[in-house]
Amino acid sequence: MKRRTLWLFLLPCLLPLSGCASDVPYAHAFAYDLKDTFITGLFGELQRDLSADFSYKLHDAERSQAKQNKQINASFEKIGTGALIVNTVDRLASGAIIRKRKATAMEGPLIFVNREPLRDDLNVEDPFVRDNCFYVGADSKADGLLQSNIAHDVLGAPEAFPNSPYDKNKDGIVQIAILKGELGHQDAELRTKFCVAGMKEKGYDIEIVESSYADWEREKAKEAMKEFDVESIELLFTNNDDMALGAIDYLHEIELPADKKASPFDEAFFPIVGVDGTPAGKKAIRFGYLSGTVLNDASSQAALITKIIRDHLKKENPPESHENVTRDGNFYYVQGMPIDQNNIDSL
Amino acid sequence: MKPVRLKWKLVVPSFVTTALFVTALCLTAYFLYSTNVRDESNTQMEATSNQVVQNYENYFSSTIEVSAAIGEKYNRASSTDELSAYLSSAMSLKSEALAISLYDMKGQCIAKAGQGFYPEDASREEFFVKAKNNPLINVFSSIKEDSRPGVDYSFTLSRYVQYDRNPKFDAIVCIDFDFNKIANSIPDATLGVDGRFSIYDSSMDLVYSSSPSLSEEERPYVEELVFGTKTVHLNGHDFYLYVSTIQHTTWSVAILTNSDYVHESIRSFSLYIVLSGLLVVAIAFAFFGVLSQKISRPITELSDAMRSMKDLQKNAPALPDGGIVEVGELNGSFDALIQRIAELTDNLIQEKEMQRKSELKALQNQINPHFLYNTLDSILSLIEKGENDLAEQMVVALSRFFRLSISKGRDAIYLKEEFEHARNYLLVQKIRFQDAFEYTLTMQEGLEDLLVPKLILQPIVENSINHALTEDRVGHIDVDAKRQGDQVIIVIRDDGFGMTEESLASLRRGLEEENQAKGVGLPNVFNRLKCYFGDGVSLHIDSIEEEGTTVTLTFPFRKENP
Repeated sequence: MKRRTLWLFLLPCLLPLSGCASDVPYAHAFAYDLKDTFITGLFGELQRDLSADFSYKLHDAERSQAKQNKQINASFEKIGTGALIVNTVDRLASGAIIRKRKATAMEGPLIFVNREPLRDDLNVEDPFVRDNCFYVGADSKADGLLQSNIAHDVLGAPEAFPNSPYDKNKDGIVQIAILKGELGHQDAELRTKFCVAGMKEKGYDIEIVESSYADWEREKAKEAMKEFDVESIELLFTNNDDMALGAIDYLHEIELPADKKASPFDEAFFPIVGVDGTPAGKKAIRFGYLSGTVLNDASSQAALITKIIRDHLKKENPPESHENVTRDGNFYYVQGMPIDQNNIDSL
Repeated sequence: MKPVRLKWKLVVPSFVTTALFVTALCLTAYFLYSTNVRDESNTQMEATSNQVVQNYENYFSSTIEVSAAIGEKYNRASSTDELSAYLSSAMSLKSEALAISLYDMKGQCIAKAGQGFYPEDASREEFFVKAKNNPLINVFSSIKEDSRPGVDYSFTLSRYVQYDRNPKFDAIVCIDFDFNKIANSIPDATLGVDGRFSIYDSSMDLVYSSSPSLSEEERPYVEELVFGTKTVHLNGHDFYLYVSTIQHTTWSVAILTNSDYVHESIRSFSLYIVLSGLLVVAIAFAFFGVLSQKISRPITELSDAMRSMKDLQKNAPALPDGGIVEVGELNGSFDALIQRIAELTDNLIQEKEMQRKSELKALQNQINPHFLYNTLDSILSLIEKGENDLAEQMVVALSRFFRLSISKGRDAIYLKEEFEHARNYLLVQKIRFQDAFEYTLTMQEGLEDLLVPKLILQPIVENSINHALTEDRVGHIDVDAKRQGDQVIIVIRDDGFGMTEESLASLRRGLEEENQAKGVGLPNVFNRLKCYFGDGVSLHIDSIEEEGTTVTLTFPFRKENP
């Protein structure tokens, strides 16, 4: 009798331990580094789009793939149904993440963002990959070409370049410096390749005088600029706005010879073209420090990711190419839009 | 429930409680310890494995830096000679580099340094084709045994190099690295017996294994895990399996650390804790055993003493109380009880003794030859005189007298029987002494069935007859029993010559004396009455010389046998 009474007292204590299972699907996002302005913006947009009907959680890998692997492992243990949005630290790890997802009893899409998996890893010939794994990122080739368009607008026609104030050494050749994001990052390599290719295509004689990796970071870009022969540069391409701002930070600091004291921010000192269109980047355009940037369209990308997730959970087919989105297999590329002195005020 | 000995009642619950407590303690300790040891060793093994992976990543990063530096240099070098010189200097800077070569997109060698295998036409080589098809990544070939002297294993890194100024001059750079240095940087001792590490490519083909012969058995676990950690049991050993991707490569590394010691440590701890638990339980058992012995011994002794009570004497030595107040009190009560019982027993014995004596005396009296001869003589003379009626009366009275004297061996008889006895005696004596005295026996109604010790009247009546027989007149003897409240009063009165003051005082002293067991006659009667009825008994003698003697017996009115 006493024991039965005891159980009656204990039962209510046990109840909260059972139950409590939520029906809200998970959306776990994994960022390679939340110090990256563009990534923070992208995941911010995602959170706005998803948090209403998803249990949204954001993880920061702080540039350690090992840490991200651990975070993904922990999520796999929890998630029954939901989406994983992965911004890998090392895009070569995507293959392993897909294999891991395959070995896990989980429902929902696996979407890589910003860091493009290898074609061999995100191979749509594998039915599992075709149905569950996607990539959403910027159209880096187009971004690179748009960067060259902006440079073209500033520098003027190739034939007129030798007589323009931009040809500081009057050799008729555009001396180009490049601040690259990250070794082996598809966006870094493709933006670099296609901004240069775009310049050639437009008929400029070009010469790469300086190039360096600055890991997408403002501070590192500033450091990298110290190594450059700044006076020889006639055009600076950076793979993102943060690095462009780092270069501008450096230019603010340096002491130039007296006759050039006011010149770093003269239009003719050298144009700087970035990518991303972050708020800080746009501000720099308004100040005239930055010649232009290509909007890496975070809100479009976030909207596309959200659509893929919702379609997948509704068991509908993923979206096809449309407007500024190009689909190639399960790779989605979102095209950017040039922002420069001409249209900055209309945005 | 079956009654249990006190010491078990004390020992068993305490012992069981202690045993349960110790068991719970042992189990808790076991779980805490094993969890801690597992967590601790897992953390440690994970840290070690992490370090190994970190080493790999650093190493591969450094190789990639070499290729990137060469790529940048390629963009700036003004001649192939300058390029070759740079490759040589890069070789000397990077000690693990065995050979470096550059190929144009047709597979023709542009520049080279170091000792190695440089095909004239590299366009069909695997490293060349893969790098060409994946222009954005560094391609690592599988790690293979190497024929160069002093080199066991090597791998090749190839990479597409963009020539920024003119894509026509894009190139492929190819570097051979000595893998031994990195493989040897992990001492075997770190990973324990059969501990090993293996590198797999993205299609789970083995790239390298420190123990190739054993790698097959771990493969299913690695395939299932992809990355993460797991405890596996292989070939009789416990292993901590750690699988991780290697940054900048499509490879994964699987590290197996022998974790047998975890089991051993937990087992030895379990053994230790079980032994110490048993020890504690044993000590507790001994402790409670002694304690309960201390408590229960005096009680056991008391109970033994009670069981053998018949052997106890009134003044037996005091029982040990074992230093316990309650037991001391118990012993005291027991002693008092024994004293009382002994007293009662003594009284009983005394009473029996006196009764036996009086019976003997009575019998002696009754078979006193003088009494019998005199009586028989009287009967004979009565018969000779022809007074047959009187003779008959006398014979009948004598016969009844004897029968009642024996009274079938009973100790107590009804008062009416006692009266009958006295009457028969008086009758016999009266006939014998030819009516020298008269007698009356009166009893209040309701006293007939009163139980009294036998032979209480006859000795007194006998004295009265002696007193009452005078030569000059007929004496009178009156026996009267009546009830007064809770008491019965029997008065035996004669009008004989009485007693002198002295003899009366001496008789009274005799009644008051302590040891009355020896007395016969009045003291004997008095004592037997006291034994039988306890307090509330009195025997009073009054006598006046020449006037007579009165004996008054008083005892409680009690119908049933006390």
